[in-house]
Amino acid sequence: MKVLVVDDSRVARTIIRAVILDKHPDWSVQEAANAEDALALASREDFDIFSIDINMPGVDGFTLVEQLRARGAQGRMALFSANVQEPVRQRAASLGVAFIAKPVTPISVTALLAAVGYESP
Amino acid sequence: MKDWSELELDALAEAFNVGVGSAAAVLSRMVGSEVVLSVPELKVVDKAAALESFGVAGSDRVCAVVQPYGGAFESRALLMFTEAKSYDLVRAVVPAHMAGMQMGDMAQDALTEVGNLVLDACLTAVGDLLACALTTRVPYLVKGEAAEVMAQMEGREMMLLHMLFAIADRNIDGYVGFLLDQQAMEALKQAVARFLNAHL
Repeated sequence: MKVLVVDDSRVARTIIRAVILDKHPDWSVQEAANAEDALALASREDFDIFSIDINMPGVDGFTLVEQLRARGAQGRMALFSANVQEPVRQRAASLGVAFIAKPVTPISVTALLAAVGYESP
Repeated sequence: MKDWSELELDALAEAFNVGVGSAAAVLSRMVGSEVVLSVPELKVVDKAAALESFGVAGSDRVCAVVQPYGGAFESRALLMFTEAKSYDLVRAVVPAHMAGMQMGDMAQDALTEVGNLVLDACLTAVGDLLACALTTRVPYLVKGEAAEVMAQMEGREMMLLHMLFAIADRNIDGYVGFLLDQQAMEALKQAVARFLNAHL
């Protein structure tokens, strides 16, 4: 399984990656600090799971979801954000992607994997 | 702050990011619409340089909700707006029939309540994430010229978090500051180090 973690926080990316690899040592987890880097990585290889932050400098997570889909990305996507307002959750739902509330912890990362169908909740 | 590593600063920024997100959710419920958030910008400055970082002149009229807190360390959090924007914020959160009110007692109470909810949500989230319990006390409102307001604050260094609220077609800039003395800054650094050791 190949995972792409997109978040401008290095700490957030590192924890998400560590939790996933702890549960699934045979998975591959790559990181991108912004949407531009994520699009570049996704153009070179296919990912099964995308974990995407919303509030990032430059292109935000919602727009990145649309851009990835427009470029044919087939992986399951989840938005992983501290912006826990109801309208934000609704926009995630309208895009058909899971919404997981930060902080990034082993519990919330497990919830993310469950939301995209790769872990028992 | 010079001795903070890039990773420690990143962890602290992420903790505040969670805090601001939680605070925005509270504010969103109060105003009945989405609060659009900018990417939080965190920096530490001498108190004397704080106004410049806020983009506020010393002679500008400001309103600030001051939230004392204790627990892992004693300090104060500050939510500051220019006076004009504080009116906008009050009008956004109070019923329409009260929208014409000036900064009287009722409006001051409303602003203090908003500040209390926003700062409490922010501090609680930061305390939870860093596993250092922070207990808020009774907030109070100060207003006047910005330089006078800052002069009343204790502490030498100030950790500034610039957050942009955009509410219901209004642009309301708010600034969150945390006044930290050397002891408080050290306690915060230790909490961040424990967080990183536990999670990385």
